[in-house]
Amino acid sequence: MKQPEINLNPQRIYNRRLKVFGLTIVSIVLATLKWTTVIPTDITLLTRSLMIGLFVLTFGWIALFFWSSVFGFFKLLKRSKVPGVVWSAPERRLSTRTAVLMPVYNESPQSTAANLLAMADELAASGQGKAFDFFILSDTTNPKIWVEEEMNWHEAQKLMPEGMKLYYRRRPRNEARKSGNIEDFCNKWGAGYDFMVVLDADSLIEAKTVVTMAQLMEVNPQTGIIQAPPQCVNKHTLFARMQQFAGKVYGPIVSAGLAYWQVSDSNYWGHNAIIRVKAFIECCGLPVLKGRAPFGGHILSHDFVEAALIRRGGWAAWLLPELKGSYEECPPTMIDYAMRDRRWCQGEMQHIKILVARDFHPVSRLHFTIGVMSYLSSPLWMGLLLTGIMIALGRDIFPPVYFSEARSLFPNWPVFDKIGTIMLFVISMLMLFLPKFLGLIVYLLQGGAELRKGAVKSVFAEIVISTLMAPVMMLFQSKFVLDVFLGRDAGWKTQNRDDTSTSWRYACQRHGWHTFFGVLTLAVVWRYTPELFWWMLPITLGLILSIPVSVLTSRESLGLWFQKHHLFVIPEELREPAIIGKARKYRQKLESLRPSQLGVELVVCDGQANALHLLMLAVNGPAPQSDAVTTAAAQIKLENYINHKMPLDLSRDEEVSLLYDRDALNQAHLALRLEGRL
Amino acid sequence: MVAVKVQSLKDIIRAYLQNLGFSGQKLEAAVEDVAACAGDYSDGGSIVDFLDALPVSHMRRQRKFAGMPDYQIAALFKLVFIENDGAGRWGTLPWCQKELPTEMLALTERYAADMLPAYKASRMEAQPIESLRPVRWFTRLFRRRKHHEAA
Repeated sequence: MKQPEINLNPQRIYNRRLKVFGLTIVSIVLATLKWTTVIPTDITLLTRSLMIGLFVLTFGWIALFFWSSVFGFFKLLKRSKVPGVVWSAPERRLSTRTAVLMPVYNESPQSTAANLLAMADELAASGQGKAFDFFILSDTTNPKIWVEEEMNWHEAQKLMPEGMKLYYRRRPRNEARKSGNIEDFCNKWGAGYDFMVVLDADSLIEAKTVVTMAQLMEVNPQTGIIQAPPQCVNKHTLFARMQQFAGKVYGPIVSAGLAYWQVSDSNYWGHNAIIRVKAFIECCGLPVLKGRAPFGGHILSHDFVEAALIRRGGWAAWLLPELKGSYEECPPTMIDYAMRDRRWCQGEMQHIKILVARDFHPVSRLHFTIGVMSYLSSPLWMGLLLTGIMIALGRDIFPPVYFSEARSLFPNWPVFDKIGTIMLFVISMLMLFLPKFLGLIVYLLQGGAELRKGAVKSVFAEIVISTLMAPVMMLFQSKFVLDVFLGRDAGWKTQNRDDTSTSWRYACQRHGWHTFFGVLTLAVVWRYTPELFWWMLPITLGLILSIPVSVLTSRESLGLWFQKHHLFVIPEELREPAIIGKARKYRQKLESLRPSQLGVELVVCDGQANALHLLMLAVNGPAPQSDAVTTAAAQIKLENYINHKMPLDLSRDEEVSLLYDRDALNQAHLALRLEGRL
Repeated sequence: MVAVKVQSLKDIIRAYLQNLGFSGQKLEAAVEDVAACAGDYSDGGSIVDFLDALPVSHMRRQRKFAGMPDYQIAALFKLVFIENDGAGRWGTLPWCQKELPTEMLALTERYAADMLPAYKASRMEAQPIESLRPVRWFTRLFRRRKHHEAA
């Protein structure tokens, strides 16, 4: 494994890691020693080992997060930059070419194009616009959205600033999902660009940040990836606003902490990052993993693997919390959040297989471990809780034997260290919540007076609501992990990005089993181990209230009510960044141009759409194979639509088949004119 | 295949031109013009293909369109024609003259350039990600020991 030649003393990196991991290990050892005295003495060795093992893993997870955040806190207080990165003068003219890539999959074409237009607008104003080309890389499978994307792209092209280009291409088969999409770009056009800024459908980066990222790549020739931590914005449901606030207040110390110990071996989060195309092409071709899904097949969470591969190739990967003005949107509801987690969980679990692959940097392995643990920790927590309950229940059913058959001078007193248990509980809670308050301190110190208003009560409100949600997420994630291990595929669904609220009915369907589990646990604990009742209440209460919490937090009205009362307010809500405003205006403009018809109907009725679609067909092909029955059915339905004015009721496959049939589209367009229907 | 009901040649030309934005009196004049210009059209193929082929053959002479299939060039021509009020600006010239108007050619070239940049091919090779196999380690260890014992 090659080491990147960066201007940084390796001893300095080593010392940073020693501090974070040394303190984490010391914390784990001390807490585990205490834990061994706290757990009951009259349980079998196997149960005891299980409880210790689960404790080490779960506590270790908290301890690493805690110490990382503590160092991030001090880094932010000192306002120190990540060492080893050469910063360029802001006025430096870019001499390189950068492609800004927006991979999309059945997303709103207006929103994605609007974000690109807003970025292009700002870049043009910065005077560096000509160093950038924009690409919409579509993997869309919905034929109606496909046609809409084409039309929308063509309209957006006309709105691009002078001299800047916005391109569109669609893959007929979305092989290897987003990573395959980017790889396809690299294979076809990558050599024409020095760097690529990879976005998500909801990404938005200020021009100043994009230019700085490109400048950094120019002056740090050993750098493969620079990740700009994204800030969640633009959503109004209570759930989303809470996430946005948490990201704003706690996010900086988390990012700063990660940057502190990761230094030049950082991770890539899949979007809002700039990548050196040459390094990516050389190092990041992803293999298809041996074996069956979910562990085999295409790599789903490709970003972590690409960062590990680029690092393996001797390039540096940086997470730079100094880069502001990088935005994304978070899921609007708890259920949407969980659905996203389901996809991510499958991808992260797949990393178990490559965790021990040859030649990866130890920090890259740690990234994989952190990814795996971010989901695996839920069933581990659940396991620890259930083991505790089972032990307590067992004691009720099998009372302790004070006088064993073996002759002894003393009875076997089961020892329960109540003080020790409370101490461990307090320490764990401290490690969980202290980083939030450290984040708040930085936020209050660095924010203006208007931001301070309501910040403290927002943190407390966030703690209460997130505590209620935590057990629900624990159950969700435990189920996802189980699903993955049972080989159930998550598929590839588009993330909901609208402020749509959850209905009571839907919440009952999704959270019914959480409520049932909560009630059952509460009843069992109340009946058999009442001494655990209050300890278990934060968990059982969260589960029992999961339906109302999920519904109420999904409400935009409640989110706005909280905003009115200065709760969960982020600076971007008080003073909207110019780029967000521009993106909104462009979206409204593009939505006003949205055609009333969609899909095949639009292509056969509208001459412009017809010509544009046929023009793009050559770059959107070759047509995927569709079976003769589908093709024939599609042809008949189109003929009935033209000759008998029947509704064009096409299935998705039929519509796709027609959209690739240029003769049918051409003739249908002419036939409708001849029929006098246009 | 969608069946086009049997129509007169002029009806089809009329529909074709209407789809490109011709209307009113200009349409009728254009139908006569194009019908005259399509005089050498023999009934062997579709009149629509024939009308498409005329501007395509002019555009084909440009190197810019060398790699594009005919249907794509025809679509490009139509898009430029529709979006730039071709009926008003160029009328029936694309079908009745031996060359396309320079202004129109320049526009089609610009549209083609705005579509996608030229390919600059690279090849991303799948990188090996070889899992360390504890089982294989054990076998190796065992083999070595046997080897050692034999020695």
